Amino acid sequence: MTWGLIAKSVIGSSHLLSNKPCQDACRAEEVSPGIYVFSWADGAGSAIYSDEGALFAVTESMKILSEYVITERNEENEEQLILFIRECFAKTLSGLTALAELKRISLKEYASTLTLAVLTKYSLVIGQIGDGVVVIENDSNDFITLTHPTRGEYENETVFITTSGYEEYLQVVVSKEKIHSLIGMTDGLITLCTVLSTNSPHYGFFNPLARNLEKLKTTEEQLEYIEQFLSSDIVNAKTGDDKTLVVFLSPKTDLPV
Amino acid sequence: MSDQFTAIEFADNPEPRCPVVLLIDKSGSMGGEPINQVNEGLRVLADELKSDNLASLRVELAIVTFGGDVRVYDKFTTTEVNGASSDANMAFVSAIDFNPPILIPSGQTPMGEAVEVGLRLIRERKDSYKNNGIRYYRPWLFLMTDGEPTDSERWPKAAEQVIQEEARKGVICFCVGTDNARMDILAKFSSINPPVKMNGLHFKEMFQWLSGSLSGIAQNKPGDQVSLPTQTWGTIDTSSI
Repeated sequence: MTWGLIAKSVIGSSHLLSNKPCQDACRAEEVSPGIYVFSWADGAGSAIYSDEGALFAVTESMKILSEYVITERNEENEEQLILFIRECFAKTLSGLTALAELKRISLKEYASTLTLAVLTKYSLVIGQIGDGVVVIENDSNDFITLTHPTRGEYENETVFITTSGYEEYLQVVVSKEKIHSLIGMTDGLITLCTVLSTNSPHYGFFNPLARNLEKLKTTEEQLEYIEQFLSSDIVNAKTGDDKTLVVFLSPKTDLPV
Repeated sequence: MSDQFTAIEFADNPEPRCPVVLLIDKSGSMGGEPINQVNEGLRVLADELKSDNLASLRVELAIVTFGGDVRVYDKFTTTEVNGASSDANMAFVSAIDFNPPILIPSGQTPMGEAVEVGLRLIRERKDSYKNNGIRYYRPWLFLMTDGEPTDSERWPKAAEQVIQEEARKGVICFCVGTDNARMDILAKFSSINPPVKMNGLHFKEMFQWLSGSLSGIAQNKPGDQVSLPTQTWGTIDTSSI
């Protein structure tokens, strides 16, 4: 297949060792013809219920975004789309807050990053809280990073949707490039596929990934490929973290070799 | 994965670093079995860190000793140099390359000066990381003593500097007292961790615990607190809280 819509999270080796669940979650859907919605999240390591927090953030935000896209049918209005993505973060946080209250658990135990994206034939609109990354491939086989991972002074610090005042750190990005591929990830993979000092994508990672996925015949095969890759020894030697890949490959005619 | 696929390459990035300064008392009273146990413990630390893939590449150790004067172990010359003429570049060595020195005790206990040198080395190392685009975890000061500091004019100021740096989230200090250590003085060196009194001469167990803690940190992901494994080799001293 020369196209694909895949979302996969795999537990990290250090989580297995310390009996922690996978704290990443992700979804990708074509909610109406030619309109794609993506969501992925990475739960805070020591927050007790952050796996639930990440999953809730993803499913709730997908629901909100999908409903909007279907009811508004106004996808070329990117101003509105931006406003709505901001609102989506706020509504997702409200939902998480309500869940925490219901379960009588402190909200911070559900801490998670969250990246949302809506792709239409007019634009790609992204909202991101935390240290995920969004990379696109354009018509010229260039890979471009559209968001940067939000980091504190230290390696293990970022902002979560549950962080008070998260709005200040919400990155909203609009791209009008013709998108050939979109690849999203949580921070578990970032050191493997981007040059950290410049936040630029490593071509030798993204191009083979996209081209190899295009050679596979079914979505199941594509999912299996990603799962095998993310669980592989070579990847786990570089990172013990949970890993997520969200991939969109648009139908193409001229394939770069 | 099938051979028909082009191999996916990884970007070449420097590993994030976890810098640790070991401040070790080698005053005269550490002579005999105590210093033997410390020396053995340092070898255990080296072996265990090397056996952990991520920790061996990420943890960086600097050794500052205080016994008579303050010295810093220079990885290039593999000798100890005077604290005042040391710098972070010579002092910090990656765990994978760490070959511990053999410490020989003598003299009194200039602990305050040693802590000041440790703090300076950490500051210099962070600058070096920032200038070279290297990510890092919050640095550790790990302080061990068997008595009380003899630089009485200096140690209170040094303790205050550590507390302030901890408040700025610039460092985490962990103190261990053995034998006749003044736990009440050690308590002044950290507002995060109460000092631990070692049971007997369980240096080996302590260094194993340290390597386990550092391995945990080296795999740390965002939002993780530094939650250290339980110390079975000593007791947390809460008398000064």
